[in-house]
Amino acid sequence: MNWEEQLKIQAFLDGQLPPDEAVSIADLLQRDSAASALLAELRATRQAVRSAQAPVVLTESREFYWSKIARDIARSERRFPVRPKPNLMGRLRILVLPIAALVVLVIVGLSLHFHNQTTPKVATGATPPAPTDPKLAITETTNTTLVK
Amino acid sequence: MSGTAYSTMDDRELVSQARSGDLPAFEELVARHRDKIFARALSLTRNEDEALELSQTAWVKGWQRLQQFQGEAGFATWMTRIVINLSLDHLRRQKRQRTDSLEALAEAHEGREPDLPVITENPTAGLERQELRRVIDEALGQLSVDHRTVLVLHEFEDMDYKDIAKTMDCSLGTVMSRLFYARRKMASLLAVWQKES
Repeated sequence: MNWEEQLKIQAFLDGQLPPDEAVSIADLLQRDSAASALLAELRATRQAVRSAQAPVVLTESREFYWSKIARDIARSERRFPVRPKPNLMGRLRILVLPIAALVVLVIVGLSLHFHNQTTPKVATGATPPAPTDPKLAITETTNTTLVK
Repeated sequence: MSGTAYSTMDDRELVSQARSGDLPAFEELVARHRDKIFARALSLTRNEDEALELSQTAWVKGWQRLQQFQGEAGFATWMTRIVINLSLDHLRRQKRQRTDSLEALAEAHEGREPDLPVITENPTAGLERQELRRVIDEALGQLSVDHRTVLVLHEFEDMDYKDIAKTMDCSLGTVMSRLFYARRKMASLLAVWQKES
């Protein structure tokens, strides 16, 4: 029995061998007494260890044990505040602000659009506003006189 | 919410409350599972003070990472993984500090001892449960950290080889070899104990 076979016997015991290898190890166990003795030893040890897991009970009181945890949580949150995951209402509230802003923008945009459509345009050829420069004003007056 | 109300909730409800920032709900989870979390740290470190501190640190980490808990496994299983990882990190730090000890030397060779004779009689036959626990505990204490860790993860946590390899950051072959050695060593320690008694 070589080292690899020994490890495979263990994997066979733990159900960690692929089916084809499990068949060949089962065959080895049938014909090799040393291999089956090893399997028996590994099985007995596994059973002993598993059954010997003792229940452990902390002697510290609930309050005392918790107090250090609570203190460390408070300290860590002062340094790195943990934001709790928002519930459904919280998530909706997060969405309300951007949606409201979008709605306002759409309303303003639409009202501007319709306002431009309904306001009468300035007629073409309307009298331009009088220039503020007095010299220009004189020239215009002169031109008017000449046409007449 | 009163303490009585929390005690009637199941873990899933408490986790949900705690995720929205309810610290007393988390306290109830701690009270429910603290023994198991401490026990796992203790089985790996074999030091009560260290295990106590590691278990408390695990709870703080649990609170901080609660949003990452997906609920595929139970809450206690999820917390156990946290304390296992913390304990392994702690043991690695310790190992780095004692590089020249005999134990470290043995671990460097993966403790392969193919010459151990096969124990043909069940060494724990006839032992009372209490006695068996004490003997197994003593034998576990004589294993190296790496061998004990593999054994604890496999036998107590029911982890498969692949999971252990991932948790311990080593190859599948190393896990198989460590587990094999740990079991054979346990068998021989138990046989010696039986002969002496």
